[in-house]
Amino acid sequence: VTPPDGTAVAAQVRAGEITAAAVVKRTLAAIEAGDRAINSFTAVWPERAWADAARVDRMIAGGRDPGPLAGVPVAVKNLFDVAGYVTVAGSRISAADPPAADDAEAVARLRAAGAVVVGALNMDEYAYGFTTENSHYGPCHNPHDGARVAGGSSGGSAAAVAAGLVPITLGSDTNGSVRVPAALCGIFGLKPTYGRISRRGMYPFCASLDHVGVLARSVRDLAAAFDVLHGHDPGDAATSARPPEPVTAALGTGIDGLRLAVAGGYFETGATNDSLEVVGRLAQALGVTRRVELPHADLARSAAMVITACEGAQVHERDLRTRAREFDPMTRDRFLAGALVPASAYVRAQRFRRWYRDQVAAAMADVDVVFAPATPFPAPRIGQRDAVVDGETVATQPYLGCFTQPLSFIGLPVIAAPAGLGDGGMPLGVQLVAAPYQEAVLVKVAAELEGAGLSVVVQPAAR
Amino acid sequence: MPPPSDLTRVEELARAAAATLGIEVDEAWWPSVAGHLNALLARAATLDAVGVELPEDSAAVFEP
Repeated sequence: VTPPDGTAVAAQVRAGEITAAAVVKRTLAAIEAGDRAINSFTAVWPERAWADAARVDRMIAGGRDPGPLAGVPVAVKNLFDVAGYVTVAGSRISAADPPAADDAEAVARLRAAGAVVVGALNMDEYAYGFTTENSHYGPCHNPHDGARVAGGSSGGSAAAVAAGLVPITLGSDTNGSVRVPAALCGIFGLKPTYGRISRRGMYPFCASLDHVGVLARSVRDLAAAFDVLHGHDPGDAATSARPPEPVTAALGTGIDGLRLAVAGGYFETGATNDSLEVVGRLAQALGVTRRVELPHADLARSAAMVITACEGAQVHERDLRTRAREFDPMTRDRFLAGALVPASAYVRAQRFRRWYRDQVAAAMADVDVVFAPATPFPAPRIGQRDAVVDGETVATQPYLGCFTQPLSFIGLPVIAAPAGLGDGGMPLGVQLVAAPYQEAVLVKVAAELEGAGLSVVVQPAAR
Repeated sequence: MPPPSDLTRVEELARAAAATLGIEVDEAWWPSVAGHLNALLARAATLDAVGVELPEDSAAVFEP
């Protein structure tokens, strides 16, 4: 049975066809039965979920509107503050911190819209990874094949949705951490424009590049979540002062007049054939014939790596001095290296970023949406360190972000959409990329692909 | 810093920097740490390859 998306759940709850409490009961049972195999949750909070659900049900009983996400069970990457619980951020070090006093802004906005928070999700330690092979909390397994990674760093956020445990989750995306796991698990992921969604109460990784993102089973769920999440917050200096620009109204309005193109050059090589072919297949289905080249994407990836390492190390400088042994070895050595990078390298990367932004803006000046691959290959095996691409051996972990990093580097909004199954029956994804603040056109194109049956969430087969 | 290709020299200077910063790196970690640092320096060096004068201003990409 295909699990309902969040929009369907909210409609039932608002119509009084089911109570939010009944949805919670069903959700907790699904997590209990289904998460042992995938390890997507690091904490489940029944008491919090029952309280949220009771609030929603009281509002409905009182004739009040609980919001567009009424009774929708959601879970959040465990780097978001949830009042009363410790924000572990995938680490043992932060597990000793006191419980969060308040909800993160994104969590608060979901709850204000009627969502029910049921738990926290597995991730790479401090978000520094693409595979969620966390040595403290165990690896997150891909619901399509438990021997393979779910992607990362929001691996739990993707796996929980793909497995049908919850319809909507929060993740964060610094270099691809929403889009990579969304693609590898075969679901939808939205990384909005930099500054669209407040990061207040989200454990930082790299402030220059950190975004809040959403993972979901349908485009309408992405749109509904974006609509309640985005908007200015004085608690995050990076949030845009633009007035709210909701995108739900863009659903089903078609793509007439939109100028679509496929990303050429860098985005056409360095990947398995099936990872590249799905881009052409989906673009062709919408009649796309144009190509656009985003110049120097390879250098953008390099600059993103330098900025990430330096800023990430700075966040953890004190702990690197005093308790480096307590870090996950997967992240420790990279943070240590980042702490030792000369400032001149960091500044050069930031200067390059500004220049690259202008180059890409010029390249996309007469294009609305660009299609690009999401990952260079489908989900690797857990523990797999190397892969061969175009005859060359690459390090699996960092290479998973080769197509996502050049885009988040300059804050462009992107939807990762499922694009079917590749060789071996594992999901592949496509990135839909737009100019800053153009999330609405992304929703139009993603909904068009979804409506045509070209981009749909495939229920994992029992393995 | 030395050119990224000179891994020995990179590690030598990185050890000195770590000592100055008060960061204790276990001996067993150094090959990995130096390798990551070398890779980062190599990537930073490639940014010169663009061959244009980069903007002086490295302010945030999007002004809120």
